Amino acid sequence: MTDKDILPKLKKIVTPYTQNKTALENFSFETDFIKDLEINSANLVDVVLDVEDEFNIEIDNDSMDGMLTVGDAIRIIRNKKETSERE
Amino acid sequence: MNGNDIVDLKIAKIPLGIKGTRFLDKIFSSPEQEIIKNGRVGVWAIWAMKEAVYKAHHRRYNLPRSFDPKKIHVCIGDVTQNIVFANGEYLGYDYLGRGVITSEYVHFTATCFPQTQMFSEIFNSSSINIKTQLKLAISNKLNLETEEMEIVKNNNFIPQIRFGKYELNLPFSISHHGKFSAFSFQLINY
Repeated sequence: MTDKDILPKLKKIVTPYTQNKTALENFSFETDFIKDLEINSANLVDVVLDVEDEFNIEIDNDSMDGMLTVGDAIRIIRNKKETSERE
Repeated sequence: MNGNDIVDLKIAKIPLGIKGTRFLDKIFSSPEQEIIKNGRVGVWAIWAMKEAVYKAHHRRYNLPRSFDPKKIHVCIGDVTQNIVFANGEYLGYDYLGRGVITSEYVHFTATCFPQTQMFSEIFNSSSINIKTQLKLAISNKLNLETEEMEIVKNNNFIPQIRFGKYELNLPFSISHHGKFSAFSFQLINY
């Protein structure tokens, strides 16, 4: 799974929680969930759960702590997928 | 240092079913989930206290953003009518919190200086600008001109008050959720 595969799926996941819909138009690795998309912090947990379901991975709290931008999320998803595929 | 958090209960939602359990497990420790199960206070009271503590602590030490609600441990103290007292511990640092719970919102303030008076206000936010309201409240207390006050975020996204070319180190916090906005501040470091 490449970053290009993950990006649109991630965009779909965050859209319902995004308060700044204009920022979705420039959705990229640098997009910040809280600063740019203005996702409420309680909804960040919803995003993490939806990501876990979509990519069939588990995101522990330490990884969730580092998930501030789209790029962070993609990195974590790929990391978790590689780990679970090895098992 | 202080932090505050407001939760609009009309829009705050926990997912249903198993997803709800996963949601709670990502945010609350077992003791906290016990408090919720026992009905002392609800999910959003403990959440708001965690957020208030996070904001107070990150502002206090100018820390970069992070997101692990389970690193903040909340104990609920006295609950009388709609006023709640709580303790929060975050990375070894202790904060004292006070919350108000109504049918429409939950609002918590937390501070490491409980002996200093906390000023806070809640607004039904559609027609107000919370930064303006905060500036007005502070300038009233300190007799400063509001026009010279500016609220800007530093590079850790923590808001600071500039007064002319000075930075007021007065601790404050702003929160928005749904139709509510709120602020808190204490008259320290000014």
